[in-house]
Amino acid sequence: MNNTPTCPLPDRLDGAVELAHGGGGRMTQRLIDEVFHPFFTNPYLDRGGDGAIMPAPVEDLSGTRVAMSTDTFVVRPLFFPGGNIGDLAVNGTVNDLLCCGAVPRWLSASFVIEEGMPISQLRDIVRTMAEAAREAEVEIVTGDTKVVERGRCDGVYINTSGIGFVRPDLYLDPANLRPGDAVILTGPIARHGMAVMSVREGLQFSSSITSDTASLGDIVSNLLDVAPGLRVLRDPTRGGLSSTLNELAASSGVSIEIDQEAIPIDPDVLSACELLGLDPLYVANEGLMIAVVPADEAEAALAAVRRSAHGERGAIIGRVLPADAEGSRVWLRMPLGNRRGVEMLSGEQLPRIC
Amino acid sequence: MCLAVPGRIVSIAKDELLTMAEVDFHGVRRQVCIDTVDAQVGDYIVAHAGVAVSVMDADTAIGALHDLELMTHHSEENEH
Amino acid sequence: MNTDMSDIRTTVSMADGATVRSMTADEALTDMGLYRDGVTMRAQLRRLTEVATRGWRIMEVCGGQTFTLSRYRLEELLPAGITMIHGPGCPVCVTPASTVDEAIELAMRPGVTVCSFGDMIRVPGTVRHDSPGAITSLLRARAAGADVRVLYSPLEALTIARDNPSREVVFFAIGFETTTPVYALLAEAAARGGVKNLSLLTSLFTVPAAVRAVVDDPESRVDALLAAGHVCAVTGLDDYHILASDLRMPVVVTGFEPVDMLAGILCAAEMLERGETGVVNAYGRVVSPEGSPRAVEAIRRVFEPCDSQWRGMGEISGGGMRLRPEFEQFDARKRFNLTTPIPSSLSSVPSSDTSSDGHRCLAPSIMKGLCSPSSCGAFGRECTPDHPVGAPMVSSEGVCAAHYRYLRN
Repeated sequence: MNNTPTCPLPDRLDGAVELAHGGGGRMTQRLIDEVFHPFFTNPYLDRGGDGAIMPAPVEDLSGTRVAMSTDTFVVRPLFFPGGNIGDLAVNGTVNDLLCCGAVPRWLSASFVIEEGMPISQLRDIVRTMAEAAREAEVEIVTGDTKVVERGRCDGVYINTSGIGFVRPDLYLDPANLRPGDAVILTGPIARHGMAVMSVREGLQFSSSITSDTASLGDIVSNLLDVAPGLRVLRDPTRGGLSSTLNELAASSGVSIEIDQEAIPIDPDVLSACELLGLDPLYVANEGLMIAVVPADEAEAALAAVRRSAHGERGAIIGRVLPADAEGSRVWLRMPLGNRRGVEMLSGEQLPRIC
Repeated sequence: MCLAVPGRIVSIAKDELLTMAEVDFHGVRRQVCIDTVDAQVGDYIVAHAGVAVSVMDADTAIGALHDLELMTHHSEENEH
Repeated sequence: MNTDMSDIRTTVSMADGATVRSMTADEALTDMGLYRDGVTMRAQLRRLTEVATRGWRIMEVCGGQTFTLSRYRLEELLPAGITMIHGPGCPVCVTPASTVDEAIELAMRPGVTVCSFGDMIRVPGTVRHDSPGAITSLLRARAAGADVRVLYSPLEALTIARDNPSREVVFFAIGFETTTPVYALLAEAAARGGVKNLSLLTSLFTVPAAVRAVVDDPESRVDALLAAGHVCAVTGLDDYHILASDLRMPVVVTGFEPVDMLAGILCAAEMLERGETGVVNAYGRVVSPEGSPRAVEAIRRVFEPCDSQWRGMGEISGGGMRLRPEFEQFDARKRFNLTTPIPSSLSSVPSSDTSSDGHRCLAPSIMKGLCSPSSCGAFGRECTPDHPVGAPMVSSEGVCAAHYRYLRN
């Protein structure tokens, strides 16, 4: 991206994105200058090369590892209560890096834009991304835009990739879980999925439910301060809490038991789930993490989560058990004291009539 | 079969084709057609697929819950 | 306005002076925590153990009740003598595969939008999932480019039809008596509003006829029935009085929360122990004996009884509903000249009711309560929620799907 002045520029760019905005010529430059550049600015990006060149961290690098993650974001509708696709694109990749144990530093951002998308909407999304990046203390150092014909994509798709650094002594691994470990959840479940559902055609309802999209750097740094034995961090996004717990159990060859009554959920989120016949254990989250810690670090870890931004409603929701005879399982302990198996999400969770 | 949830009627508006009520389901609000029942603002209905199938009876509910509480109370007494 | 009773507290004191929590109407009607309370359920289970002196086989009619039993794993907590038989009551499951084929065929036509409920669009028709390029369900049809939409309420199809006057909008209208009034209102509203591009592909069932068919089966040994609360909320109890007297057994109208389920089972057990028959309403907060007369009236204006095919059970005389001739302009089969059985291009492929390695799906026996899902050779192997073979694996409420999800291992 380059800030060479283009001329003439009589008005603020407005209206809709046209195919020519992706042509690589003056229109493209104008789109970048007027929609992206005002919000995304830092020395690496502003230099305008084919890629960004950043200094390696100055401290002794021996043992420090580099983490890299990438994710592509498609969501309908693009704007939903509590956020838009821009928040998701930044926070999602930042949280993926955090789950690697990394301190996120730099992101790339690539946009596939549908012809006809209102420029005002694109600007709102870009502004949101810049705010989310600032909040997460990362810089968007390189990017790309393409425009495709109307009908070939759904408004805008955004890919973000990110780089962060992992300190030498930290090894988080989904295969690390040991029987006896405590499972901590950093907040209430199912908010993002139900916020998006509330504005989806055919299913709309009104509520004060907002997406939980957020970057969770504060939680992770506070956790690392008090829980040196931290086994793993995972964000239960698509497929919800159940699916992520099943993946963790399988990776470590253990079983996991969670207590239904310990899992935080907002009453209105639960009501919305019941209205549509959805199981909140399978509904998507965005600003939520599962942290597994050794039992003797559980209380300190929970306290650290709770004093962090976005972690006020954290809870210990369960424990790691030895694998069952038939393999790794996830169990839900119910109010009567009996328990049932919780499977991975099968297919897409759809509202039920039955 | 027949997922249906209880909610309270907050307001009623008749459009050209249907009588629609705004119904509060514990913090979640949705339009529900009430042409199937005789209901007023403040009534509790059970909604299925966007239509009220029944007006709920609070006295019966409270009576049944008290019976259950009584049973629980005696059951725990016998237990101890 | 003084119609608001949500703040009035009712307190009942007990004879022995024990304190009972006072309760508002709002709590009693909408606080689901009260109906999922572990302490209450434990007391109900203890009482059930005291009451049940013999073995009883109790059939819950409704798939929603089967779902609750599995979700809370209540069966393992019941006294040993009480056996639950899982009845036929899930309209998604019993919609014939050939009807699903009709919906798929419509969806693949240019200019047609097919709408239905989320659980219906996953249901496979007769085309087997391992046939090459198979469009086995509405979900797959959508992937192949069809306009298939998931709606919470059929009434929203009216808006879609008005907003898209150049398209034909079809609602795949499945359901029992609970849902039929919704379609009646939809058809009447479309008629009043002059909406001409909307139609219904109906697959509508009536519960009492099917229950009679199941319980009359000489092999079935059902001692009592838990009737489906939300069906009864519409229809009222008249048909169930006849049923109870014909079948000479207790029929308990039951709700869907675990406390409601245990209340229904307890009531049925008490009646069985006393040798009583007849109808008891254990879901009085929702069901009144006369049902919802306006809903029943709406059904009668728009629909008439007919014989019907139930997936897994075959034809049931008087087990269905169809549009009356006055409303045939809303009948998708007439509008699009659909003829059952379905086109040969679809029916020539192997039936989905037999799995590829030859395990015969036991759906008919399972749905009649004659055997359990785990005794079926296809269960959990060929037949899973991802690739259902038979009807009861189709919806999350189907008895096989419920077993698979919650009871496996």
